[in-house]
Amino acid sequence: MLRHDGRCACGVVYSVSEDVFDFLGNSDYYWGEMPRTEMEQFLSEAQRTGWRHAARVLVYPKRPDLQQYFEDPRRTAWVAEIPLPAHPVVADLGAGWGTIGFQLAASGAQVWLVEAVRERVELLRLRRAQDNLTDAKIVRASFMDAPLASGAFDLVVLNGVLEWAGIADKSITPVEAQLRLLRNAAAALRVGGFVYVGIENRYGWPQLRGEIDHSGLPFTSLLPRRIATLVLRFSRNALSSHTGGDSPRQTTYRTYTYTLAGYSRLFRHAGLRIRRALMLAPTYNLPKLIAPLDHTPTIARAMRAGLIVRGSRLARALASMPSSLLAAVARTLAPSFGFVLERME
Amino acid sequence: MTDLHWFWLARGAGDVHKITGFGCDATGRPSTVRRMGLSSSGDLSLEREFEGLSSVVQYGPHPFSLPKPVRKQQMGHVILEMPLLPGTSIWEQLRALPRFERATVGWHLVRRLIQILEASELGDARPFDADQNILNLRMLVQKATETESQRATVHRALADVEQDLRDVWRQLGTHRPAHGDFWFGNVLKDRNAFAVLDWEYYGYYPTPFFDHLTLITSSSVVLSPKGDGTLSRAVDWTTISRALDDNEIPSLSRLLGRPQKTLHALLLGTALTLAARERDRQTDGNQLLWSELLTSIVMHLDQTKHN
Repeated sequence: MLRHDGRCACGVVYSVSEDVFDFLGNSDYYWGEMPRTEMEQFLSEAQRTGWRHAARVLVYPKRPDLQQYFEDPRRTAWVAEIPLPAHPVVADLGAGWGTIGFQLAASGAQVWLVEAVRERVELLRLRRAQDNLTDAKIVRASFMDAPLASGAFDLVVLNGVLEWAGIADKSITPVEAQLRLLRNAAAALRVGGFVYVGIENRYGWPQLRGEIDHSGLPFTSLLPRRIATLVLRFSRNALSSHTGGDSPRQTTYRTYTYTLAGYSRLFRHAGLRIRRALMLAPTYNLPKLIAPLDHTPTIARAMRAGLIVRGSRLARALASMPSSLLAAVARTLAPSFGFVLERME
Repeated sequence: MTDLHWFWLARGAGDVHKITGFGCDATGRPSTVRRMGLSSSGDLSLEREFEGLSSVVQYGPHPFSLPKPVRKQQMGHVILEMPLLPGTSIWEQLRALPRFERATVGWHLVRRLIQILEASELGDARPFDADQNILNLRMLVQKATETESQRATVHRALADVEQDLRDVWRQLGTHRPAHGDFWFGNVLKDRNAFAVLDWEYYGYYPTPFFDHLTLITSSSVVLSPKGDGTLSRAVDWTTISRALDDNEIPSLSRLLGRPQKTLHALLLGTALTLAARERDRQTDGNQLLWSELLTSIVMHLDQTKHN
């Protein structure tokens, strides 16, 4: 889709270096799972000994939670709910370390990984070479302005991305930024294609229990957004310290998440219709229970199965609640959602 | 099929590379099950399961129910679809019981299942190749052990029981394939009927009574008073090996008409095979479990020899 002559059909000029299409040139913005210096050490070790070995030696001892995040095949378990062709063309926007994109590539998809941070792009390049997934394309660009050709993709993945749109484009309101991202994704779809969105529930059970929100602080998603902004103004640079990024102090709450009804409205305004709404637990990043939210008896059955596997007395007591109540709990307090969206014609 | 609503579970230690979907009808009653690979390793395991299950379904009749699978593909991944058999896994049923009752009911079920195994023929009989089997077991030692000293100890223990193994192979003459992962979690019970799932390890194993010994050993872990009810945690092996020797090995010895010494040799072969396999799969908990089991059996054999 992108030629090696350095000019996109959209008119933007880009460079091609080591088989990476670079639309950002000298931009040096950093954002990541760990501080930049540690990321650089990791990259240098990954170059020498392989990314998996480097992650085991340098990353996982400090951050054991990242092992599943970077390597667990269940990160793409939601693919079971999307009727894709055998070799779909996929865009993974905000690809991060590329776990989702490369897992899809390994199963036969032609994947375009779009990522803005230079260090992450370097890791994607190493990972592509070392895992022998040379058909995967890497594009260095912001997910907000990803150079996606119209009508070219069977699937556009926005996993853990939509909530960051308000930070990535501060020239407009967070809702407008999210709509812009969704409309770009929708425009890139082939007829019969899908956008997949994996994202937290604003009032999810983990949020109620005090899990850190995208702001870097707990409980902010639960507050009215103006109050959340006030809280941010009086806090230290929570977002940046949480993510190891270079981002300036956040003074406005812009990482919007919604309830199920809120997402439905947002998607409708973006010209997208929900084909499937799923509860993903415990998180959309590692879904171990995937259940359809539109069918009360099935979601209740799924909740029971999930609770029984936990085995505790409380879980068994919850499992004995009536189906309608269990389904209502799932829709209201699901930790996160997965949405399979299609274009409204 | 198209009217079904699906939910998916991916929780077990062995289920990292594949997920299990349940297709529910309009009332929410699950009627169909799908297993889908998420990586080449998951796909391979489902291919194995499909082949194993297809072989064993054809070979019947069996004293337990078997699901007949259909193989499909989704985006490069293997999907096995089959009707959901009635019943709940024995392990789920046992977990709902108080600990003491769990052990009583559990050991009763072990005996029932061993009778079922005795009545089952899962494939064609093949002659034992004693030399090849010994060679296979020796090769497994490398995979199943961590350190050089552990390796040497297991090799020594294997050398000590070689003659017992050769004797039992000679007496039996032939062997049949085994399920390969026969524990409570893979057996469904619906009133008095049983169904067996998860046939990915179906095949010919070097030691006879492989499923019997896997069932007894895994049950001794999950039913142990000190165990926390899972297969994936470290447990007190001294208690368990004593339990095996005080109760289960003698009872199996009577049932099969084999001396306890022979069963110890077979237990070593089974533990060696399982430890090697679990280390290969790199699933955290079970790896530790079977490796500990192997060590404790070796120690036990050593003690028995000196006594």
